Amino acid sequence: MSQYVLIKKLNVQNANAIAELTYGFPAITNFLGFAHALSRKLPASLNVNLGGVVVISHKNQVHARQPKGWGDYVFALTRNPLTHQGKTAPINEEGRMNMQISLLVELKGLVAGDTLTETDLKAHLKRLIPTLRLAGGQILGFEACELLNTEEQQAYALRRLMPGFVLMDRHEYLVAHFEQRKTEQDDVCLFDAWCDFATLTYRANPSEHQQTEDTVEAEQAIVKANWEYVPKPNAGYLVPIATGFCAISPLYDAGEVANVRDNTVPVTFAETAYSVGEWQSVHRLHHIESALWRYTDNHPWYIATTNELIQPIIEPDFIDSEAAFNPDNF
Amino acid sequence: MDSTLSDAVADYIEQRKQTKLEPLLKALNKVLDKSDDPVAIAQAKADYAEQAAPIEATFEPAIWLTDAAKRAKQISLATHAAKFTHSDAKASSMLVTQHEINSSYVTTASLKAKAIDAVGNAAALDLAKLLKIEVAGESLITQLQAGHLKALNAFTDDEQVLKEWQAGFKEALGDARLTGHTLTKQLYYPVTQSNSKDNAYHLLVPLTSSALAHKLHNTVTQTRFGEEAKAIKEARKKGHYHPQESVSFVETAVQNFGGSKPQNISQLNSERYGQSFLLNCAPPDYQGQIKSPSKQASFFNREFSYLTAKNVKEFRAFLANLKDSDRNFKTRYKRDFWYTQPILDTLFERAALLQNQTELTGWATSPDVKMKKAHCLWLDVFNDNASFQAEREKREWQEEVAHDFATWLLRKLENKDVYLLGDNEHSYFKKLCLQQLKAFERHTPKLGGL
Repeated sequence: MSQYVLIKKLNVQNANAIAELTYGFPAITNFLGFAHALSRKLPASLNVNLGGVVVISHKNQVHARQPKGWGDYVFALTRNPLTHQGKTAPINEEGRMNMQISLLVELKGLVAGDTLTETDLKAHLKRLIPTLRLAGGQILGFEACELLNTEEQQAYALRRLMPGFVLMDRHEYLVAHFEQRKTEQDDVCLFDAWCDFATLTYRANPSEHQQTEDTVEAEQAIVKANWEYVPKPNAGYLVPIATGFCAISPLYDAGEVANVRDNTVPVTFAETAYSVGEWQSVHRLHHIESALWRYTDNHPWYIATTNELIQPIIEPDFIDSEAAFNPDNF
Repeated sequence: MDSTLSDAVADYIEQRKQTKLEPLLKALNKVLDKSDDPVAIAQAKADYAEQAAPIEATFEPAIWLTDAAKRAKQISLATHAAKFTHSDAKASSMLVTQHEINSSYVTTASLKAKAIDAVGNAAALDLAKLLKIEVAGESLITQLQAGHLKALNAFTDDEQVLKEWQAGFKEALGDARLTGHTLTKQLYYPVTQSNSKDNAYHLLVPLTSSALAHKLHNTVTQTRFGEEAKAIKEARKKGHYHPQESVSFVETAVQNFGGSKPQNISQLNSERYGQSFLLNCAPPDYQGQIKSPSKQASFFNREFSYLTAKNVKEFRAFLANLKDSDRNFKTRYKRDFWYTQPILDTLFERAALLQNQTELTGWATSPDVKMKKAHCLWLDVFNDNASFQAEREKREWQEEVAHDFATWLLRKLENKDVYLLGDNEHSYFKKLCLQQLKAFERHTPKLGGL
């Protein structure tokens, strides 16, 4: 039986909205880092620690606009102090956002029924959370911080997080779609398959009777066609996400690389690794476990991921017969 | 394509020379065109010869290459550049060239052809072009990585000189000693270590992949401004056939690097005018506030139809295209998860949103309410009218809401020319809705229980 800390309706301002090639929501590693920092700051006497994180988005406001009313978004930028020469200081653009989120954080080490520790823990969390930053943004406040010990409590609390959207890990969709694309086209690469989750695609279906008519002069003939929307590779609100890092250099021993912030830990150069995520409405989250993101490490991969996806089946007892649903085709 | 890499290199040097000589030639031609005075012409020719001679000398391939090899350490060829994080970051840049197929995450290694970037002194960027010249899949970079420089054999017989060149150019491929910098990001990543209970960390220094950004930039601009893409868009606009799919990137954002001097960041950054495209990963947006529905007769009103219009349209297309051979589990699975579920999701999101609007509470018992009783009972959870709550408790309204949903959906899906939906489908949708509605209601906050 897993226990969770629920940090409900946490308001954050000026969080980082850009994760390398994606924007609109901070990378999942930011939230894991937040829980980890929180865990480290809890007094050792409590003897508990925090693990994986479920992220639920309630409100999301990226500081970006479309200057022409359509087309690409541009970010609203800060005006920074001038340089010593009185010129505008050079900047690399940053994207920021305000958001309201709820976090469910896995809690380990709390003995059930130990109410003394529970109250102590809650008091510490309430004091610590506003002192931290989340994805580089300031925490303005939160509605409540609760401990969810039983399944009943968890279901009860989840319903109260409606309306909201949970971020789910769907990297297996990307793999499956890539395999599919490879069978159709030889020189396709994973990047192309990934882009398919971000694009809007239409395909032309020629009207049949027209085609036969025009066979004589097929070269010049203009065939009428219906352009149909091609659905995304899988169902759901799928988005490309940054999900962790991949090392691009060997792992150097502590102190081997110059000018790093800490000479006592091994260092490696890394790049962002991308995958696919799904925003799912909270009422469909039946097991908190299935949306729980955790750190994994297996050099060169430093990836945040959830457990294997088990697709729930909508109560099979009444999908059993064909008779239950049978649109008559003419 | 008979030319070899050596020829291409020679061509490149020749080209560089011509651009240098161009202003001088122009000056000469000007005099030749304008005057007939033999003295002036002779003077101009002499001037030209005098000024061109040192240029001709420096662009003698062997000499130029020696000079180039000396300058090579001023730049570094890279796929990952530190300056994208901060324009003053002086950490090492990295060149990743291997290609990995079996990985489930997108990284630079998943690209087959990687655009190679050059960072460093903008005055030495001509070298980057030289090193990147590719003939039949071979470039000076691949040769250097293989540890030889055969393409340059043509320009010198001296082994010693060749060695010097190799050593010089090699410096452009990466720093001899990797360094971090205070202006790069450096983050601790917790790692599990079997032998200790304490937290162990690796320090990650993330570098932006310019190669990946370049690939995305090319893909996006291709779909927008490419000749082929234009033809496809045109065909789609007119409703004509085109064998290829029309692909568009929507909701993209642009991030600028380097301001008005994109070449200060890197060469590729300059090629994409300092712009980098970003893909949207934001959660779906819902309207934060909704009005009291008391004036509406049903929850399944025009607003709800509007919100689900896209899903309904897709559902209709799906049903219209069903064939007899589609009577299988996969089709039924698709029907449930791809088409019915998103509509149900919208239903419950809207309901929760309305139930959460506590400042509206009590609308269902106001005298001028027009909405159906069952819908009122469902939506106005915190109404403090005792008889209202008592009726709500009976839960008889659930059946009716599910029934109304099924009726509404069936009407929306109606397409008599192609298929018929009847009582079977109605009771199926009703069951599906009722089952989820019950689960939804089980944990709905009650009056006084929030």
